[in-house]
Amino acid sequence: MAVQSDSTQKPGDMITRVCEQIMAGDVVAENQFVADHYRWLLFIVRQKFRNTDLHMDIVQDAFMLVITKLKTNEVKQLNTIRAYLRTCAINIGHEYLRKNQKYSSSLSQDQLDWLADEQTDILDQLAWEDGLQQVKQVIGDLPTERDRDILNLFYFAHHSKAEICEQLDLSPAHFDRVIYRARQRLKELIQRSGGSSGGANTLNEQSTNNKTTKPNVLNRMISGAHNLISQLLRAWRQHGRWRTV
Amino acid sequence: MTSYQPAPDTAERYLQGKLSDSELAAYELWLADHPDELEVLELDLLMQEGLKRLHSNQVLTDPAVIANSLREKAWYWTPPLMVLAFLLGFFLHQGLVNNLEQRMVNALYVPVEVMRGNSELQAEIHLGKDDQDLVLMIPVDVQSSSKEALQVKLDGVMHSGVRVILVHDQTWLVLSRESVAVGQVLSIEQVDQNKNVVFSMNYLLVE
Repeated sequence: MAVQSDSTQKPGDMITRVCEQIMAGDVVAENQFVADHYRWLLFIVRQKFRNTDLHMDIVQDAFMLVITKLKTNEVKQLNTIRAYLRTCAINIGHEYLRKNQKYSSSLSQDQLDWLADEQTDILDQLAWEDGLQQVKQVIGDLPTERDRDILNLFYFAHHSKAEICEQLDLSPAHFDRVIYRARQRLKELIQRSGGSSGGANTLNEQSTNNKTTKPNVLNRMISGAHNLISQLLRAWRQHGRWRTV
Repeated sequence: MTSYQPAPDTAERYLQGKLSDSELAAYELWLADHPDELEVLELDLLMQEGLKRLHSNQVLTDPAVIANSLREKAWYWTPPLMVLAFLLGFFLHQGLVNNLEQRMVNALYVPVEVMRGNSELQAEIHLGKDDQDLVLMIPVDVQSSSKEALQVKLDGVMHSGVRVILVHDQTWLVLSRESVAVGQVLSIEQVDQNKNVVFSMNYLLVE
């Protein structure tokens, strides 16, 4: 069953429709649901759980949980599915941190192939790491020491815009200009280093493309290996031991 | 989905973790329908985390940051460190001086007669007790000359652990008892700036 998309529909209606299709067993709709929300949910998880590198796992487990609940008709209010997805991710994240181990899902791996196939997690992770490295260049490329001070005070020392403007005797427009240019420079560096791969996916393409672009054979191989390892780890978590075939 | 509209400073307060739980939920749900805003926040989050990493690396590796940190804390550790250094210096000095004085009192003093040219004649030096250093008293003030120098060899090998003391117009070479042994040939050589031996005297160390 294909996902029906109609540009005249409201976003809320679209989501409800996708959820109904998932409930009816439509695998394509599952893919659609993940593609529509993956980047958004990953950002929330990264923002909330900064001191862990398990973001991808948290997001995947949250999707697994919500889609399974949809398929078993345990979600009553489809119009609040995003809030439910967000809450699940946050709870799973806390569970990860509390146990200091992976969240133990009881879901079958067979139900989750769409996640492994459609999301290039490792590329996203590489893009994120790449982005963190690029920040150094952005800071280094700034023309004046004062611009560096602005970024450090805003992003590192968490001073407010008003405080920084007063402290450095800046106009708000000047502040906005420096921040805007720094963001643009960072985006440009990520896109340049990542090309059409994960860097661009993370920031631009994923929201508009339902299919994640596979940049080249090497990345595809890396992604495949990562997926295989992920599946093995999930099997380990679910069964507590390696299964021999 | 809802009629929620964030305030102009919501993004800033969001990044700084200053939103209430209800504001936070509403804003994050609003972001799901606003990919452009989400992208800006992704870049902001990257900036925050990237700068955090940059600063933590700087703290570990940048000498300037380490120096600044030490300077900031100087008031805290300088006084006790100075007292410690003074006490350490005092006791070390006392120990060294006392030790040196004691050893010099007990030392075996051997006047050396300088003969120009290479001496084939080997005189004997009778070494004293095991704790008795050997002081060779050479009647030349070679240390004040920039053109000449004295060197000591044991069995033809340069001996580097020699203390030099200038006493009026004499040069005293102090060899610790542990550094010499019975049966060794002790050579004292004076060399000029071209490393030519001006004179050389050889002694056989005996019990």
